[in-house]
Amino acid sequence: MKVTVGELPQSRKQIQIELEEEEVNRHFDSSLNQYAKVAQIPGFRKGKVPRPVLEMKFGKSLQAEVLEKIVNESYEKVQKEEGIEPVSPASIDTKDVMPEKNKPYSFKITVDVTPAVRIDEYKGLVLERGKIEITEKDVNAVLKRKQEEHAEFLPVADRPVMKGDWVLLDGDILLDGKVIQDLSGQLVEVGLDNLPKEMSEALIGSSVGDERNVNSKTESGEEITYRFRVKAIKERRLLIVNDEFARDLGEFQSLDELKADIRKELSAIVDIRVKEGLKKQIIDKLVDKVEVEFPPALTERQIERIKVLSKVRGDGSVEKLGEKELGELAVRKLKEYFILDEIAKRENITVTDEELEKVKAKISEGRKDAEIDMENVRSNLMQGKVFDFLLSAASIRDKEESLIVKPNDVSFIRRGKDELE
Amino acid sequence: MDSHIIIKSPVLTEKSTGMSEKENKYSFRVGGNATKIEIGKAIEELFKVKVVHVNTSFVRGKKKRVRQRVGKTPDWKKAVVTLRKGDKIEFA
Repeated sequence: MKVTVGELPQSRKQIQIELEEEEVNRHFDSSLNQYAKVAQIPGFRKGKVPRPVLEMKFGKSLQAEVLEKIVNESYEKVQKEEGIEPVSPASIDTKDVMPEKNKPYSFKITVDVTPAVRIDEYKGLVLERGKIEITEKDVNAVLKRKQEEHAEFLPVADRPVMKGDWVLLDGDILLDGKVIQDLSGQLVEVGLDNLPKEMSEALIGSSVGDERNVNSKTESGEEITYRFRVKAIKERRLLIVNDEFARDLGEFQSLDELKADIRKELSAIVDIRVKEGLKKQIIDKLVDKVEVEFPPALTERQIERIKVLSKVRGDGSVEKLGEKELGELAVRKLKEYFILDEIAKRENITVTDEELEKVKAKISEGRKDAEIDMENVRSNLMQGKVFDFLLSAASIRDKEESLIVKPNDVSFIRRGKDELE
Repeated sequence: MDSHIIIKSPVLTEKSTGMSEKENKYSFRVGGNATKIEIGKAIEELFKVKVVHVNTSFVRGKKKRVRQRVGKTPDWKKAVVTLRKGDKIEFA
């Protein structure tokens, strides 16, 4: 067997395979042997059919079978011998020639391979670490949010709605005569930005039982109608932040203890943020150093992957991206993956089975029936290790930064918590 | 007479292939009225070989039963042709 491997752009390879007569015959013989045992041809007993007769009867299907065998066997061999790692199904070009007995046979295989990522300078990256001090202000901001979360709502009966009141509604929002949102049972704060201005204006001054119909136009000129009835007016009373408040929140004895807990939580979030920031810097620096052209099949698969992931997360950030940006994002992700992989190979960073088991146990502890994609876990672990390695090899400068928690920044806290888990 | 009407098809069975391999004798289904001489000439013309002997025989059709009724497959004439040493016929 003669193999010639040629490089094509976009990290594709063209493999020309030439088989000698004897090899082709060997394949024919082995296929024929299989046929000989089972073929039933009138005039012959089973298993007694002579070769020439078999060849005559099954010529066409025999050729197809031999072709399959030849391609499979030689492709497998080539993969092993030439160290080719395909990332997509190979396309095989036989020029519509079938193998024939006593004749040499040649064909071409074109395949997308793992691109060779070359990276030399990955040690001693200069990184900036955000040094974040948790201030009293941050703690107080969280406290304030907790205070709002646990506020009491007291009914108001003796006066109309004022700015800052909370109103229990019954009704709906119509867009061009069609109901788009049901308002029944909703508690809204009057005068807040997240309530439409027209609605806030209509609410101020109304009393319990009042019905209102407000018409307005949207930016695109559609008619929007708010139709609602005031069911109840409530006043929010914040609890006083003191030891008692801390005790109400749970397992805390005093306000100081609560504060300490908030501090702990915040610092954990900060740690994660800092680490994420460092990771991002590492990736940015490494990705820019590498120029690779990925085969289109690989990029496409990555785009699909990104789309699916974004659907799972449901944040819709990917849908907004155009075709081109999505492509760039995919290439970036791919680069990241292959760079980390390459570094792991170079530095002999591996993930042991024990480590895998540990993580697996941890995951299944949280979700009993969770399906665990071990390959995914492995690659995540591996990436984490490579990051740790890169971090320890990098030179890190501290940069002052401040963490400012806004009272309404609920997502920040929640996200932080999720990451902690 | 046209050679293709005389020689209808080769007989491909274990026995016939055995004979062609060992004794250089080839069997054919031939027309019922074909004579040995005609058969020999036809084979020489069709396959460009030299025929030494022609032996013929009638093969009786087999009795086949379809439910209660007994039927019969047709009788046919078989010719076994011996070729000159070294000549060969390949059916393909």
